[in-house]
Amino acid sequence: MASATDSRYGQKESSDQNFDYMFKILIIGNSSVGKTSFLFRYADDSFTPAFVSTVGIDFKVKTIYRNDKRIKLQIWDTAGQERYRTITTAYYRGAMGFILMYDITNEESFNAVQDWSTQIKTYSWDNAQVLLVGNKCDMEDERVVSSERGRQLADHLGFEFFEASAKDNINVKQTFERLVDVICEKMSESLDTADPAVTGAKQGPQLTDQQAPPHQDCAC
Amino acid sequence: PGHRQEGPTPGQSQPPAALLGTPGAQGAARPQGVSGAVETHSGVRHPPFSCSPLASQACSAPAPDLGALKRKAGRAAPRPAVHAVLRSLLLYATQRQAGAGRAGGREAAARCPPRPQDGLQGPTRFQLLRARFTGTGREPLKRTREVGRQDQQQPGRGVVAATVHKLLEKTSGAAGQPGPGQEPPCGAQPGRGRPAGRSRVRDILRTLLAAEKPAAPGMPPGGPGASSRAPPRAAGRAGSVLSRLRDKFQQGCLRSEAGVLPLRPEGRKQRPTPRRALLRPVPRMLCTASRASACVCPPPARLLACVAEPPPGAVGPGAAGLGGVQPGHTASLVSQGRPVRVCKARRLRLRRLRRLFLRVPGDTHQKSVKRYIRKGVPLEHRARVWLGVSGAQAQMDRNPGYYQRLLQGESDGSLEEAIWTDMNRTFPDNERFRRGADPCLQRPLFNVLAAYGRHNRDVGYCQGMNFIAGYLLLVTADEEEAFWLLDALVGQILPDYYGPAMLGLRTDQEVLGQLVRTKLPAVAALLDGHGVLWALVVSRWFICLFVDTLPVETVLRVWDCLFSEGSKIIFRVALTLIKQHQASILEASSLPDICEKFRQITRGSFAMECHTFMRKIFSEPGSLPTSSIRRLRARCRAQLLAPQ
Repeated sequence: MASATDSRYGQKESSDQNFDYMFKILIIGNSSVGKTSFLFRYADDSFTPAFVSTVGIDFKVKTIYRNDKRIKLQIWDTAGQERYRTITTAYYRGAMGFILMYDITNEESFNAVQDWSTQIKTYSWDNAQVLLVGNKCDMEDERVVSSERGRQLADHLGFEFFEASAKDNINVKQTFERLVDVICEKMSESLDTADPAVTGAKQGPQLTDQQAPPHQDCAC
Repeated sequence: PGHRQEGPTPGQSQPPAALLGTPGAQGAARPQGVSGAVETHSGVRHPPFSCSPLASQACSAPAPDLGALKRKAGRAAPRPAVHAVLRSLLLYATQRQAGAGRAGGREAAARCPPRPQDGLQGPTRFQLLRARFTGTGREPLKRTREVGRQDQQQPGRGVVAATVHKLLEKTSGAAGQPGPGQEPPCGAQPGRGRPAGRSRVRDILRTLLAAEKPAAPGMPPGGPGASSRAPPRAAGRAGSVLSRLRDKFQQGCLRSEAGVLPLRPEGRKQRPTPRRALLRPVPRMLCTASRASACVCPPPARLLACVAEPPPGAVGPGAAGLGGVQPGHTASLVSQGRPVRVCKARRLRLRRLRRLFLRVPGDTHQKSVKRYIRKGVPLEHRARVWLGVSGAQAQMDRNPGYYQRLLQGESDGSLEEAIWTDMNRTFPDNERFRRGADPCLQRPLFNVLAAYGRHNRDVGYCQGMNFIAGYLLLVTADEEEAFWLLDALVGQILPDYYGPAMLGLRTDQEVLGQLVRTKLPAVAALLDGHGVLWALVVSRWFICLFVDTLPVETVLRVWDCLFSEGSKIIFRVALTLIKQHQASILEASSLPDICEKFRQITRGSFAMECHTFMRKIFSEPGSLPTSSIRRLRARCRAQLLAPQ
């Protein structure tokens, strides 16, 4: 159900906005790793320690110029607690990018990365791009997860890796831009290889102002 | 104002010597000042009291022998029946004579002075009211009272005279007489043509004028002592009659409750009691009572003594750093100990509410309790009422010490860590929930949540419960009560909302979708068209029970009903919000738009005015039978479980 409806809104929305692509990106990770702060730092360039716990799901929209294209990012912020996955996984479908976040001062959040990665594989489109982000890198004193371990895990899972800080605005923009680049690369790669499962919906006449992902036909 | 001048000015303009001449020759006993006043007031050309002695004799001629009648009545005293008959006869005769005498002239009245008990009729209540509300209007009368307080008599007297004049004109007009200012009725007056009652009223009024007059124009300027009464030398026989008449008239005023003519300061002092009774009927008061405690008046929080949204700019410290994530409604919810403005009506209502609970402590779900609760429970009674109606109190009484045992029970590391994670993220803009606050509510909040996690291991801790428990703590100010109320909510009222699968919550979100589809198909079509899942727009409503979504006061009012009537209220609130803003929602043309609209509809004046809001939630969504909710829930639950 969600898949069908998600793809519908995507197409309809793209028709009344002025942009070349629209990417749907989800930020996931354990509770209190800093997902909301990360999103607000990127979308509003603001930070406050006084965020309330996210309940359910929320999103923000930001339009960027990248590679001469106007790209509209729809960034979804999810509740981290495990039981909320029943609600949030409905939004995995149709997402082209994921920011999987852990807290470098919280071992448990790092240990959960594997689990989150499984969730992505289970509920999302196969071609979804994932970035692993170790947040709160400004809190070096309290670090329990070394950069090296993070990088190793990212390599193991096949994700790109960043360490970032929403508080000090380290690597936040870079993370999103890299994700957009990766998605764009993957998209053009798909176009080049003309994988029918991926490009089928993109061959239409409105390619330029049409949302890129053909997730109607994706394997979800 | 015109009337105020009308009274005294003509009198002052007249040369007193000229006035004293004519009437003095006619009426021997008439005090000069009084007659002068009469002349001046009714117009010099046609003094109404200047009827001839002949006429006055004719007036008094048909009067029966009152003395004989009285003596007879006195003799008949042992026989009650005869005595009663004679008394009534005497009364009739006296009245008749008094009427005739007053119609004819002052001499007759003086010969047979009316006594207080002999039924002298003052102007009717209707006349007084008319005098009050027509013509002269309320303004001069009001001013009479105001001015009268500072300056003893003079201006007030003028208005009185003016009012009486007005009355005179009216009565004479009604009696088919020409106005006193047009034609001298001197010759025609003794005739029996007009009805006695009306003429009597007229004459009383004239007498009154005559009595009042000397105080106004005939008084030396700047003599406050002289102004209070007619000159002493005028207090002869006729003077006493006049003063009695005046008293009579005043009594008539008091009796009629109209309270129009404050003739004397004493009269004014006597008046308040009947007037208050007249102005404040009891049913109104009850109505006000209910409204007062339901805080209908803006600003809403003042009467109810509940916390409301702080005015913009008055938000507590810390709210500024919110960054616009959530509407920080709870920033101001720190009002325990704030002085409470208790009005009488509210106290009345509270007493009734308390009595209701005392009378039937067990059966709290009766209609009247429901009605009272829908009108809003005052903050200081919320804890009691919530505990009572939800059954939490009963649970608490049945399990004494249970909460303490839970606190001392074995700890569950992951549960506590999950709760600690949210401690700094529960109402961060409310100073009482900040680390280091005094008193800090973080520890009680942790205790309540941890105890609940241990008590209900199936649920444990779910994000969202922290906000609910936080509100409960703010309202109850007691950990154990908050715990049992949380248990009532999570365990009974909202079953399966916060369990690991959150099935109840997801079910209810789907149920809301179905209800909207039935009741507001356009909105449902819009959301379907954009592929918006209901969970996206309403999950926070359901999970946090409108905390930080609606204004504090509205949330508490919704919770009043939630505890007393159950989870159906959530649908009512959600449906009302959507229906009320349907037009605005339908303007949205994209998914972000729709989400923004759903955020907007929980703000603004509609949600802020909680009294109207609460009335609307019971009227706007229309019928919402529990049975159909149950059916819908069963169907939606089956649908949710099916694909898995």
